[in-house]
Amino acid sequence: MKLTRVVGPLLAAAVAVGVAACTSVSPTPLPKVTPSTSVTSGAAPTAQSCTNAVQSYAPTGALPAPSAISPASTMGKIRTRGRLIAGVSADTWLLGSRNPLTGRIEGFDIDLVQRIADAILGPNAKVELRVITAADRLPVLQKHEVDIVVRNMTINCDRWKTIAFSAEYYHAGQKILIRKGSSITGRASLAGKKVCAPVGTSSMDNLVRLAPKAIPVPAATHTECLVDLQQGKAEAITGDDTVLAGLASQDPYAVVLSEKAFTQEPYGVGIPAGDVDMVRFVNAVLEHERTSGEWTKSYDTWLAPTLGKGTGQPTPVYGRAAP
Amino acid sequence: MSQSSGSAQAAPTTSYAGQSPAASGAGAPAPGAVGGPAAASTTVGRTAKPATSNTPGWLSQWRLLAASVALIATGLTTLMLFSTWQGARSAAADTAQLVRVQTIKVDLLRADALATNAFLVGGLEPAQQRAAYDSALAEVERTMTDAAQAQPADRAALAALSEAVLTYTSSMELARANNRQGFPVGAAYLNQASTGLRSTALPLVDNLVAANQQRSRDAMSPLPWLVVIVPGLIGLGLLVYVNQLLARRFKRRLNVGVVIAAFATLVMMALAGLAAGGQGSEDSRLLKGSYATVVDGAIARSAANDAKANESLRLISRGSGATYEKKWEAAAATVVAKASGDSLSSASGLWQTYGEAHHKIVILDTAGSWDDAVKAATSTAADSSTAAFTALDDGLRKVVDDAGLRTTSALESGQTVFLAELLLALVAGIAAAASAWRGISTRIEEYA
Repeated sequence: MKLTRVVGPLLAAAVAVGVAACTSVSPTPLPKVTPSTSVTSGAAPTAQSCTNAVQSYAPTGALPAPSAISPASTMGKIRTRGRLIAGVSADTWLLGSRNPLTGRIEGFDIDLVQRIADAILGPNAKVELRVITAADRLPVLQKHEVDIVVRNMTINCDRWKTIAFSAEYYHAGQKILIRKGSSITGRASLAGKKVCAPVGTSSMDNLVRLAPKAIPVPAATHTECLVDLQQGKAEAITGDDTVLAGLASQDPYAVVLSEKAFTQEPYGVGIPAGDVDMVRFVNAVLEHERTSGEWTKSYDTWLAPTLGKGTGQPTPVYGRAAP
Repeated sequence: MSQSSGSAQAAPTTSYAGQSPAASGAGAPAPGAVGGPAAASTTVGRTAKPATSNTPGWLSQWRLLAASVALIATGLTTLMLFSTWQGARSAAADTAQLVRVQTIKVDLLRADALATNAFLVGGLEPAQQRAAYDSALAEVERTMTDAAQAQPADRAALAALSEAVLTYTSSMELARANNRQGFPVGAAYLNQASTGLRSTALPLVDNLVAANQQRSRDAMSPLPWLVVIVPGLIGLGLLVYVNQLLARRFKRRLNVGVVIAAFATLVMMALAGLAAGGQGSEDSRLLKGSYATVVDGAIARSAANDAKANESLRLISRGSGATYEKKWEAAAATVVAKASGDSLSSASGLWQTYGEAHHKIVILDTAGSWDDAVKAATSTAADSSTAAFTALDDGLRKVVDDAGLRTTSALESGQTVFLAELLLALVAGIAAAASAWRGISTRIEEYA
């Protein structure tokens, strides 16, 4: 080996160090895009399996004065607590929504909550409104996190298995809301169209059952469906006429189809299954509303301007046997 | 000198390549000298010893090797120093970029905290809060532009982030517009904006923060001084060996040129060691000191703003805020963990004040006094949650900005001294090579 041969590798090493000193910076990685969860329409829910869904527990006589309520009853416990806890919606206009100008939650459902609270605790009773999504309605009752749920909830046989309902306090029906100029003319023309409905609602169940060829777009609430509609992610929204009326009045380009309601949606106050005394009490409140005219007053305030005169307070059906 | 070195170098190089020695007979003493050492490569000294006529050739080989090794050692040392210098320079740039991307994250969360809090008040949001929201977003835009200019490797991520921020701001504007008209769909847009911010924009910012943190840490780990002096050490060893060889052959204990070369190499090593060692200890001081404050402070500030936004979201979701409270607690744990050091101890106290104010809001909310909870959360009075939070946020921003400036200026200020040391080391190394060449040339000249 010649001495100068050493020079070669040394030079190579020198170059390598030089190159290493000038290596370029690798670019910042972008996060991997995870595909958003799509709706699994799943097995279509079957139609009502019973015929007495709206049947509730009959009230025990006239509405008692707040002071006459037995302390051992469910209402008595609410009196001890000093406030009624109700699960409501804060974004269903006309029924239960937060007025951004005042910060207060108001609407047809909220009026009913206040009157139930007044009946238990006296005039201007304290109410704790707990804002819940449609999917939360059953769990919060089952876990006794709230005393009642008044959140445009349809009475049906399936729900009767886990919770109890008051008598029907409003009769709604499912309709379709479209963007102005849409080719959708009714339930029959929904095939292949993206239709939004909140998850965990009878609106979504009915959509899957009655328009199986429509593409369901899930959302947390009906108001988020309106966002989807405005952003073009959905072509139509399906829901109760009451809810859709509230959505349509927030957007001049949203139109509720005049097609006859394709389902019957009797609204009831949700109450934990075991609180039968509370159900009877709420039914007594509803009876009192009819005679005092408070129901009509509330309807005229909130719903009449968009839904017209309506058919009035539904006639209660009693006779359900207590468990 | 350059003339003679050129011809002397040309002769052995071509012949060593295995060609005919006569072919390049330009250098007078070289051709004769080649034959001997060519036979035995590893024992150059011994084979050359008996034939005095071969000595000039033998000498010129050693001259070439000694000068080359000294030059290569110089080159390697300088390159290593250069890489360290470059590292310090990019560390300063990377730290400045890290501060930028962290600022983006904080400002985004700050804007969201302000917007959600304003929502609690109602349609008519306080002008001051709106101005703070606008300025936070303006700073996001400005910082994104600066960041894209400063680090090309961040451009793709920043472009995606810019898109996400645009979506956020447009959703937020729709939320405000609807809210002002009293439409509940405004709240749905707010929710979409906040959710989108956390699912799209923040992961991008987190990637930017992680990448720049990694870059600045990498740049702040220079070669240890022990490695930097290795080429010099090899050069020095060779020079000592050459001196021994010459001493045996010429009965003079020291070859002045080689000795000077060895001394110059020592000077080069000392300078290189000093520069690398100095940079190394400066970097580790910064990593434990102001740089750590930058990183921890920014994490604490982001977490604090996230917590404040979750406080508002908790109240907006009225009664169903348990999930937001869990997020608040997770963010709070991060703030406490990151603000535990000395440099952030002032923030730790401010956080405690805010935490107590927040706790009062939670108690009001869980007791069913939502209206009072909102009043407490949106109040700007001196003892309110918002005032405590603003004090904390301002305090943290100051600490982080100061630490960022201290880090970059420390990294930048050391560069002149370092560069001077690098250049001196280069000069010393070249002097060593020249001196070794000259020293051995003197011996060769004795044969001329």
